[in-house]
Amino acid sequence: MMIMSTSQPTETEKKEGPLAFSYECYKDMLDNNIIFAYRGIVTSDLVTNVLEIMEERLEEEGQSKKISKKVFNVMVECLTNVYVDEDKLFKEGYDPSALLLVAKGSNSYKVTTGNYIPTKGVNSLKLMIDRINSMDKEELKTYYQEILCMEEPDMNGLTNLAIIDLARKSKNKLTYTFKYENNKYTFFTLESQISKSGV
Amino acid sequence: MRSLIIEPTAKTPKVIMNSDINVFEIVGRSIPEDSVGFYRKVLDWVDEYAKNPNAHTNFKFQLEYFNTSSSKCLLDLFRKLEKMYKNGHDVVITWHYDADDEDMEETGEDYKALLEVPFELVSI
Repeated sequence: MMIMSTSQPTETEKKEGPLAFSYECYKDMLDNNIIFAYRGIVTSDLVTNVLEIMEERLEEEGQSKKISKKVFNVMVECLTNVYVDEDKLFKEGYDPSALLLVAKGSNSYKVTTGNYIPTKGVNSLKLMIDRINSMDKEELKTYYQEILCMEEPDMNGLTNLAIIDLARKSKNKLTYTFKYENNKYTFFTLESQISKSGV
Repeated sequence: MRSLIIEPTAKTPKVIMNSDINVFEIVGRSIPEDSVGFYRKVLDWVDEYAKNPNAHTNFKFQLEYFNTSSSKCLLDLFRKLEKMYKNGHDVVITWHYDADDEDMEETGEDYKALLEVPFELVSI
């Protein structure tokens, strides 16, 4: 069925739900060069499926193997480290799913993840990312090796290791936002940028 | 000694630990949800093997992708091989990486810098 745009809304256009926003959603994705979007629970099965889809997309676009590999490595790291305590979030009335967006710009790819995190952890996470962003290549390498060698890294240690790894692999500063919801949860987005030049 | 063979999946690598034919390999993707659970079998096998290893042991690693928790498990495995080497056994680790994958090469260099065991990087 074709939906025609006229000055008078048709019966179809008056409807609510996906029909009401699908065009805007499509336009937003187009304007922001989104080539892949997902919202849902992140499982390791999903990671393998996403990789397959992205492999085809990047191949179709004629992207070099070196840059494709880098995009995949960053995506794997992003997805496998979106740590969400699904059961707890669900019980407390929050959406336990995560968001993954991949955008293709003229000079780079951007991989963005979003998910709820406990508000009490926001400050330490922000300090951690800022600290990582202030480091140069050699400092990141030393710090990565230091945390990797910790005897029993806790969840914070693993998160730190993952964020350092993202910074090293993307070779760019990480950008982030925290959208405060309440004292319990904050929506956290993290973006990694991979230059097409590979530098 | 009984071999340890684990067939690959989309998330876990192929594992061959066969002391009879002197083949020790971990090849493929390593992005399991429970990395510790997956690698425990390998670590236990290596503990047993270290009691009476072959004259020469070459451990081959060829990974396509791996996640942060796997990287920690791999270091635990390397530490066991390092211990064997320090105990006087002939042990070599070979880290194979795709020539287009500079991240995997860099990770190999990280491990090499942290370990006191022969660690060779092989571009394929």
